[in-house]
Amino acid sequence: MDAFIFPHLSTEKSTAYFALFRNVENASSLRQRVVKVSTLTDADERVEEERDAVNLAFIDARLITSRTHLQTAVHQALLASSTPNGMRTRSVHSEILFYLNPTNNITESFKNFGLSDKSTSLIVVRIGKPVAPAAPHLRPDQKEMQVQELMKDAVIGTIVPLDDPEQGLESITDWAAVRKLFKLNTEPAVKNASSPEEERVVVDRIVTSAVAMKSVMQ
Amino acid sequence: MASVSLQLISFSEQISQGAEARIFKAQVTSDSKPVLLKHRFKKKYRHEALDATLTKARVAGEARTLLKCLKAGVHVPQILVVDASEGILGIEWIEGQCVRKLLPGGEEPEEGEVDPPSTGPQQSLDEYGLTIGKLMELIGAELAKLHKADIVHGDLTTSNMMLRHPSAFTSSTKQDVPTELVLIDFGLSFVSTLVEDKAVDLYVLERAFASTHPDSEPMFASVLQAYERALTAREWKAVKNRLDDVRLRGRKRSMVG
Ligand SMILES: Nc1ncnc2c1ncn2[C@@H]1O[C@H](COP(=O)(O)OP(=O)(O)OP(=O)(O)O)[C@@H](O)[C@H]1O
Ligand SMILES: [Mg+2]
Repeated sequence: MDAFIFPHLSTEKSTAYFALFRNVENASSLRQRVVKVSTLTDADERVEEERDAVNLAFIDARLITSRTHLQTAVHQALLASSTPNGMRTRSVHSEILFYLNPTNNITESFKNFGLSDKSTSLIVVRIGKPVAPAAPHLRPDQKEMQVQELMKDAVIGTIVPLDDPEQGLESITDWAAVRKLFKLNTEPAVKNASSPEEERVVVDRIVTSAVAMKSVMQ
Repeated sequence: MASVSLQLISFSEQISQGAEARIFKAQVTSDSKPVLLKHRFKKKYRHEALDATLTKARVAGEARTLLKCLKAGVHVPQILVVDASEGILGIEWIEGQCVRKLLPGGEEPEEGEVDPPSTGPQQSLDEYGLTIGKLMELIGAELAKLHKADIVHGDLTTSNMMLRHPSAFTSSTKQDVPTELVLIDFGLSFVSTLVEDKAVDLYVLERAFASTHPDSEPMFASVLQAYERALTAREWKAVKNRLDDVRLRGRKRSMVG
């Protein structure tokens, strides 16, 4: 499966597995499950397994503009999680959503970029060791399979390659929604773009840069 | 444990060493495009807490200006990594050459350059499909966009402008040149609506041209012509008058000191 590998990060954080799911059928029940897991206490039965099963970032793929955009958000979230008191949210997975969102409002970042009942295209990201009680000496390809199985257990949908020209991100990004969310419609770079293609390049460069500089935004 | 972004630097190639910062060519993942890392390292002689605050403010300032430029349509590298507490800013690596080295008189390596330009084959403006005149037009047009957005660069020189190499430049729209002029190094930039600040910005570039490139007067005149074309008559008149004032002040100062 697809992954970003960051050689400069510690081993448990250096691989971020991800998959793009289309035709997602269970967004609503998945969202309820995630909410429920967040209310479990350590005393509850099978709490470890349930937490691990949804220990993922669920991202609305319509608002992701490129592979670099996604990679930048994952990388900045990992940098934050590697810095003492660096995180603004409770987990590295929610930190990714925080970095993607244009404002510092955490609730809003879930609302804009997270799982909603209507989500049909999702990017699912997993950082860190797979499944809690797993054998400690898995080969990388076994780990990868395990993460993929975990994702498929959570999401009912079709996995497609992110870079696929027909089925991939290119056919999913909702550029009008991105421009609106980042308030780009009145910016000269967007207004003066000479073609829709150029406009997309410009918007992607802006939102990727916004993600990268989020920690010093204002 | 050393911070993660310092670890990234330790895997990277050093490009130059300035008084304030070291420049590296890095890769965040093995299959992603190269990133230029600008590391404002710790100053031993400065108070530690003060140093950290200043460094962070510099990184933040440069990043904010870059984003403002991107929104205004000014050609600058995109931002890819920020770790302000370590003084690190990572931006898109521009494949190409700085303008200084493509103009007469600019070949000598600058202070602090680790890798002298002579190691690679000498690039020429032809390779970029440009004449000197056309290049000056690109510079003037870019500076006009910058100033219209009320951004003052603060350190305009021909070193702080780059051309994308045609082999690394793909435009989705048909353009008359196979390259793009990109402004870099916004470490001293600030936001200002004052004509004075914009005029001084241009004057700094004029002086840089004069001290680096022989017979620079017609070159800089072409820069100003293109700059003028992108402004309204009113805007241009204000900047032009102020530039004349600034030049006069500059000359008086050099006669005194
Ligand atoms: N995005 C980039 N891509 C490729 N090369 C770059 C890029 N940005 C800068 N450079 C190269 O690195 C040099 C130094 O960069 P920059 O001017 O931003 O740093 P600086 O520390 O402020 O340097 P100086 O003090 O020499 O002005 C530039 O002159 C240029 O040759
Ligand atoms: Mg410089």
